[in-house]
Amino acid sequence: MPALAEARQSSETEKIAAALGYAQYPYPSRETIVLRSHDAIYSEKGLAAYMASIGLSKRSRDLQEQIERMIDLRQNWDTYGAEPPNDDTMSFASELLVLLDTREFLPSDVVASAEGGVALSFTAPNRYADIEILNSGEILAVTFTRQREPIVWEVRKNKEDIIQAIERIYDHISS
Amino acid sequence: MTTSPRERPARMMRNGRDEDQQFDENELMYRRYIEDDFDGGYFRPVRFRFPPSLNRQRYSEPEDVIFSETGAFDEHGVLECSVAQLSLDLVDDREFRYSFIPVHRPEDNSYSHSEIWADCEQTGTRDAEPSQVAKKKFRTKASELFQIRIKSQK
Repeated sequence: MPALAEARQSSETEKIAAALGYAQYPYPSRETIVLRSHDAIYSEKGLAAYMASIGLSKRSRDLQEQIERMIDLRQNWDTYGAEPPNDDTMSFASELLVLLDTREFLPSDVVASAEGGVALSFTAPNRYADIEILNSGEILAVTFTRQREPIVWEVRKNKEDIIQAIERIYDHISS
Repeated sequence: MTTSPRERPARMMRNGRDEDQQFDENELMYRRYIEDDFDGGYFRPVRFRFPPSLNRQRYSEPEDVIFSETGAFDEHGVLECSVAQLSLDLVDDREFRYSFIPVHRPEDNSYSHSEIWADCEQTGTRDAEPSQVAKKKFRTKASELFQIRIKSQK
């Protein structure tokens, strides 16, 4: 079997292959043999992340980078004992950002939560909302008009609940 | 450059003193912050952990929350809020009613250290772990109440 370096690939197909966890090798009959080098779950996530990155706006990419930088946070990063976001939380926040980009409703900011997690926040004059993804796996959302009582609800980790939360926040911020 | 450790003010040390659960409603509570904790003119609710760790005015000076023997908090600022403002009554998604109150939780090197806990009307309990929804409601509402006492340089 030829070495990986001998594989004839363009830079784009290399990226896709890397995202998928596949490697392509030339075969004597001029066809290619495709070998999967990682487990399927990782590969599908890799592809989703890659495909998402192609279409994301610059603002969205900036926010994605903010999530990526959270990997540098350490225990007690806020000096009040906060845990850094874990891998699952950052990964979910990243996926949520892709969904929001598709909806053309990006958050104003993405920050680490002092409760241990990642929060996507939305602001407008006198209005605030966020979706907070906790390391425990819980997701909480809030809509808040200044000087009033916040409205808080738990969001289950399924597409329907998440889309519903996004729409509630969209209505609140744009009203 | 190295600097000598600073001496902790005597008022900060517990020195065997008992808890004091009497809070005046005008008493101020302090916490430290950095610029990134703010979004626009407001403290970010998600930068507020529950139960919040605060210093009470009766036994401290505002700058005590940024005291460190090593100067670790020198560039932090200080926020303040009154006991009356933080004593919120909120209802969670199960219609459980919570009254948030300050609780004196002195530490050996921070006698004024306090937290905000919650009395639950339905369960009759007072603790630092109300429901997630109640906690988030409190964190969100309380975040708009804090004012800058000493501006952060960081």
